[in-house]
Amino acid sequence: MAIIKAENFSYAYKHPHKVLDSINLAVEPGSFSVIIGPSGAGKTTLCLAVAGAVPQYFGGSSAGAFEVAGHDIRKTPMHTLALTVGSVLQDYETQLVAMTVEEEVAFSLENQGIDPAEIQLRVTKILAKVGLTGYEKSEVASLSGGQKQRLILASILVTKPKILVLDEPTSALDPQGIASLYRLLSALNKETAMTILVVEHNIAATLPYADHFILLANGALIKNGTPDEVLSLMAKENIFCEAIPPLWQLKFFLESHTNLKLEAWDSEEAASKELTKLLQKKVSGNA
Amino acid sequence: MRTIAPLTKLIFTVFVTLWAIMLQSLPALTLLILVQVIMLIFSKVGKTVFKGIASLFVFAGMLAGIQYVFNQDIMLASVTAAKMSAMTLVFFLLLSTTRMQDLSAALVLQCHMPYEYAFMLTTALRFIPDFLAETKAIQEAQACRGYTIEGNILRRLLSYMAIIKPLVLKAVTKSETMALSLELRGFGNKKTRSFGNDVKLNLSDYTLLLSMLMITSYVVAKIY
Amino acid sequence: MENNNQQTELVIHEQTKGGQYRWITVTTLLLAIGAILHLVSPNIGGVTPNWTIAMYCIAINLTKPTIGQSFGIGLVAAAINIPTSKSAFPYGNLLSEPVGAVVCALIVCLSCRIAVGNTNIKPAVTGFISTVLSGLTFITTLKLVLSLPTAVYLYAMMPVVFAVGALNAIITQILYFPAKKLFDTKGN
Repeated sequence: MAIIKAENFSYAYKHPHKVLDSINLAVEPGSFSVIIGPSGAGKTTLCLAVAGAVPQYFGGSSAGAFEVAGHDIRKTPMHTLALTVGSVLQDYETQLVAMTVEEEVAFSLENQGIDPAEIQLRVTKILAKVGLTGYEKSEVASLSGGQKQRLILASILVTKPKILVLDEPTSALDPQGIASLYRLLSALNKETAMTILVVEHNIAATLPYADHFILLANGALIKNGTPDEVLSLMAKENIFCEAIPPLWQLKFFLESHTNLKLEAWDSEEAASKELTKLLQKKVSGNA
Repeated sequence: MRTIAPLTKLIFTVFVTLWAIMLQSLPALTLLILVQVIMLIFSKVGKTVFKGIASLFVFAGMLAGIQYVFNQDIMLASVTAAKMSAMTLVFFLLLSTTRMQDLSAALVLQCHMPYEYAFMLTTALRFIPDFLAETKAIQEAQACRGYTIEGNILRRLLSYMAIIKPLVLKAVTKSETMALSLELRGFGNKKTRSFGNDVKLNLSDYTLLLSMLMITSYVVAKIY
Repeated sequence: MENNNQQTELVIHEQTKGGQYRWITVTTLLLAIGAILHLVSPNIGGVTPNWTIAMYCIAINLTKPTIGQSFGIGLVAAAINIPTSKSAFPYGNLLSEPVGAVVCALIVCLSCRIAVGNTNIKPAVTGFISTVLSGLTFITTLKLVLSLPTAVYLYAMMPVVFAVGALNAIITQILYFPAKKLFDTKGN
C-alpha cells in the first residue's frame, strides 16, 4: 500500500499553465526517493503537494487524485497533514522563527499543546540526534548555514512525521555537509522506517542511499524506478543527461564500447572494486 | 532582578511611570533615578546598556535645553528632564534583565494577549541580525554600482531607497515562505498552545507588588 | 504505471484560499526592517523618517488586516522599538503606534479609491495621515505627562511631526507598489 499516491494529478498555479501534468505516482512507505529533473520540471510543486500546500495554500487549479497516508490532500487541513508529513523548504532559514535553538524545536511542540516537561525531554533527545547538543541556548541567528539546516530538521523530526520531504537541502552546503546530511537521512530512513522524499541536483551524493529516483520533466513524470533504471533511461533516451553522475557516465561509456554489463555503482568504492576484479580476471586470463 | 517574574517587572514599569508623572520635586525625581541606576548596577547589566543610558541623559539634557530656551525656567526644565529619564530608565531595567521571550510569554499567559502578537514580537527580533547582514551586503553592492548617500534632501532619500527597496522585497518573499512554514508546522491548529517558559509569580513577587502599592499610596498621600 | 495513456478527463477546479498567516509574517518581517532602519538610517534634512510607521502602513496596505489586528500590530511595533530606540517615553509609543495602525487600517478599509489621475495614492495618504496622527498622539501625551510649555509643543514639535509625515508619505508610496506586485505573484 503506497503512502503517497497520485492518480492523473494535474496542478496549475494559474489556469491553464499546468506545472504538474497527469502525474501517476506511488511511493512505498519506508522508501528513500530522490526527485530529479531539469529546473521548471515541477519538483518543488510535487513536494508542496505532498504537504497539501498545493493546492490548499496556493489556490490555483487541480485535477485527478492525490493521497498521502490515506488523506486526500485537498480535503485534509494542512495542519492535520503536517502530523504525517514534515517539510524542509528550499529557503529553510526563513522557517526558523524563534530566538534560540531550544525554543525553535519547542515551537513545533508548543503548537500541538504538548506538556512543557515532555517538550524538554524531546528537545534534548532530538538535538542530540542531529548533533546540536550544547547549542540549546544559542541564538538562531548565530548558527552557520549547516547548523541552521540541522536545526530545522530537528524541529520537524521532533513531531515524529512518517514522511520527510526536503526541497534542495544541499544547495548551500559544502561537500562534507552534504555527505553528513545524507548519512543522517539514511540513518533515519533505516532506523525508523521514515519515508524520505528529497529534491536533489547532486545525484551522485544520493546514490549510496536512495532506493528510488523519480524523474520529472516539464511537469510530467517520466519514470519512477530504481536509480539504475532511471539513469539508464536518461542515458538511453537522452533526457536530462547532463545530470548523470560522472561515475555513471563512465559506466555507460564502458558498457556501450565493450560487451560488459556492469553493476549499479552506488559509490566510487563499488566501481573501483568491480573494475579491479574485472581487470584481475583479464590479467589472469591473459596469463 | 533576574529572578523576579517578568510580570512583576512589567507592573514595576507602570508604577515608575506613574510616580514620575505624579512627583514634581527635583530631589524626589533624582532619588527615583538614582535607585534605578543602583538597581541596574546590581543587576550586572552589560556595557551597551550604560551606553544607551548615557545617550538617554544627553537626550534629556537636550529636551531641558529646548524648554529653557522657550520659557527661561531652569527648575521646570530640569524637572521635565528628570521625569523623562526616570520613566525611560525603567525600560532599560526591564529589557536588560528580562528575555523578550519570557516577557511575551507573560503577556500571553498572564495578560491574555493573543499569541500571534507575541510571535510577531519575538520573531521580528530574531530576524533583525539577518536583515542587518543583508543591509550591509546590499550597501556594499550599491556602493560598487556608484550609489552614494549625498546631495540634496530628496536625492539622498531616493538613493537611500535603493538600499531599502531590495530589503522590503526580500521581506515580502520571505513572508510567503514563513506563512507556508507556519501552516506546515501546525501553527494555531490548537486553541491552547503550551509554553516552556516559567513566568509564575513567587512570594517575593507578591511582596514587591505590595510594596509598590504602598509607595504609591504614600506618594499620593504626600502630594494630595 | 508511469505511462499515462489512459488520459482521464481533467476536471480543473479553481480554489482561492491562500495563507491565513500572511498578515502576521509580512508585518513581522517589515517591522524587523523598520527597527533596523530606525537604528542605521541617516537623517534627511534634520528629520528622520519614522520607518516603523512606514513599514506597518505598507504591511496593512498589503494584507488588509482587521481593525483589531491592526491595533495589535501597533502595539507590537511600539514594543519592538523600545529596546532598539532612544524613545523619550516608551509608554507614549505604546499609545501612539496603535493609533497610527488603526487609522491606517480604517483608511485602507474605505472602499473608495484615492487617486490623482491614474495613480493610486492611497499608500501616500495612509502614510501621511497615520504618521501625523500617531505623531500628534505621541507629542500630546508627552506634553501632558511632562507638562511641557505650549510653545515647545507648537513650534518645536508640531513642525517635526508634519515633516516626518511628508517624508513617510513619499516612502510608503515608493515602496508599496513593487512590494504589492511581488505580494500578488503566488508560487514562484
